[in-house]
Amino acid sequence: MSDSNNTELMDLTFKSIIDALPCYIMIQDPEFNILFANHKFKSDFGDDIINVSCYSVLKGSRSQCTECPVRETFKDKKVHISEEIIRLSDGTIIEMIAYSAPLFDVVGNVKACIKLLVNVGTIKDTHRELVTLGQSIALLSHDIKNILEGLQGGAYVVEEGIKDKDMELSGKGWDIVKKNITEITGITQNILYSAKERKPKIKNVSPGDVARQTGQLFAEKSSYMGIQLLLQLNPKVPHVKLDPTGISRMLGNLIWNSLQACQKNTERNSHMVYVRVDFYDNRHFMFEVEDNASGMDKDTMKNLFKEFFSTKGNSGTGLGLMVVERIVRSHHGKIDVLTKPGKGSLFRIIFKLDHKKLDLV
Amino acid sequence: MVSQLKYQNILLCTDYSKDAEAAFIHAFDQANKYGAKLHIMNVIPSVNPCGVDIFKKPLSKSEIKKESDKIDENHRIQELGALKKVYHERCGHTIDHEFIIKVGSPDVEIIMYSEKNDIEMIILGTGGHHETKRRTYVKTAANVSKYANCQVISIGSPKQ
Repeated sequence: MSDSNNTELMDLTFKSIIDALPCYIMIQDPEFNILFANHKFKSDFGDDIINVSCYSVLKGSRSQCTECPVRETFKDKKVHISEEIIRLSDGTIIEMIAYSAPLFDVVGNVKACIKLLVNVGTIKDTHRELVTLGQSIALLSHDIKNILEGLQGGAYVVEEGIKDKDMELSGKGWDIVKKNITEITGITQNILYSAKERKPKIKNVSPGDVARQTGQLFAEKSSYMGIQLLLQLNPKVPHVKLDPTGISRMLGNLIWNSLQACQKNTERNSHMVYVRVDFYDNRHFMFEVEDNASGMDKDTMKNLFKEFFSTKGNSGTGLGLMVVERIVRSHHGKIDVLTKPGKGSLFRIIFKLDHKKLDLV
Repeated sequence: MVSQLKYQNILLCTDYSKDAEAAFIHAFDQANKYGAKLHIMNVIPSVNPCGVDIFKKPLSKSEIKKESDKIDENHRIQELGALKKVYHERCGHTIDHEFIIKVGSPDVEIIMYSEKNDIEMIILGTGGHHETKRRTYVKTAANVSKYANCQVISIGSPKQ
């Protein structure tokens, strides 16, 4: 075989290898225009990317990125590594690690840069999940310790009451025990919901019935806290396909948040929590949970559905609203929030009336 | 000494009902009186508020969202034309004004817009259309009055 045939074969082999690599490879000129891109790059960003700037293809931007490994490589002729977030043509955002290396001409000047982008989205997601898991274990251990101490205290009071045949004292102790059992039940249920994606178990139910039954679970508790819990349920809202357990958990978390916000609020003497079921429009219905507690400021609103964000100090895990968001998402619903500091908050969850066509089961 | 009120941005929310007409007359007077800019807004409910199930053919979640947004955008442009048709001539050159169409829950959109645009006064009709004509059952006037961070005036049309 001749030398030219050999070179041709080598070129083809290298090209096949570069095209087969599961990462983006491109060569850029000093103006950041793309001179070459591998098959993977072209299949995700289209064929019309040659001589187009890297930042417009990868970021959809008209100006250069503030941090650019290629620019650094052109400057100091060294390899640079950075983390980048890019946008695919279908709008998907991906986290990447970018490596840039110089390509020299015969006299040692950087003629072009080769840039390699590796998708690290999955690794980053795993990293975030592990961080979350660590935080969750620390936080939950602290909460569970507090609850266990509460249970021990309650049991001690009950025991003392029995010893002294003082039924009133035993009753007080029993109330403490019950309160802590409720707390630990709530935490456990939220952990179960937040631990993994749970497929909704869809049944044909009346949203009003689900709200009534959930409200009844809090009737005694709200009256003990001195808060009026009012149910305003439109009986005309028809049966729909929902996961009643999930929806009850969602409402329960919202009601419990409102009750606790009311209890914490000392600016008002009388507190109310409304639970509503009504039509939203002709094709949707809504659940609303509204309170007249202290409302939320802008920072709280921003972090509302983030895992482990709580305004309740030691008495909150920050899992409640995250679980609400997850249940709403699994039912393809939408959450509206209205709030005003000093006035109260309203959470509105909108669902479709006819779920027949939804891919829920 | 009593300090004089000064408004620079007034928001009129309309659903073209009789109450909204009464609200417009009041909002126009207020904007004229204070030399304020009048923001004239109509919130239209999303064609598909939950972002699902608008087509019979199976689409991916992101495709459905995109199609839904496209429909909302077309709807928004049509509604903007309708809003201008009703109010543009009436405002004329007398007052500085702007037309806004938002898609979503009316109470949420009104409050978000008012916060982002330094609105000092919101004027809206008390009742709007009768339930059978309304496209959303959200209690807009009550919620805006309660949750807005500025003055809110809700106006009912005088009895005929």
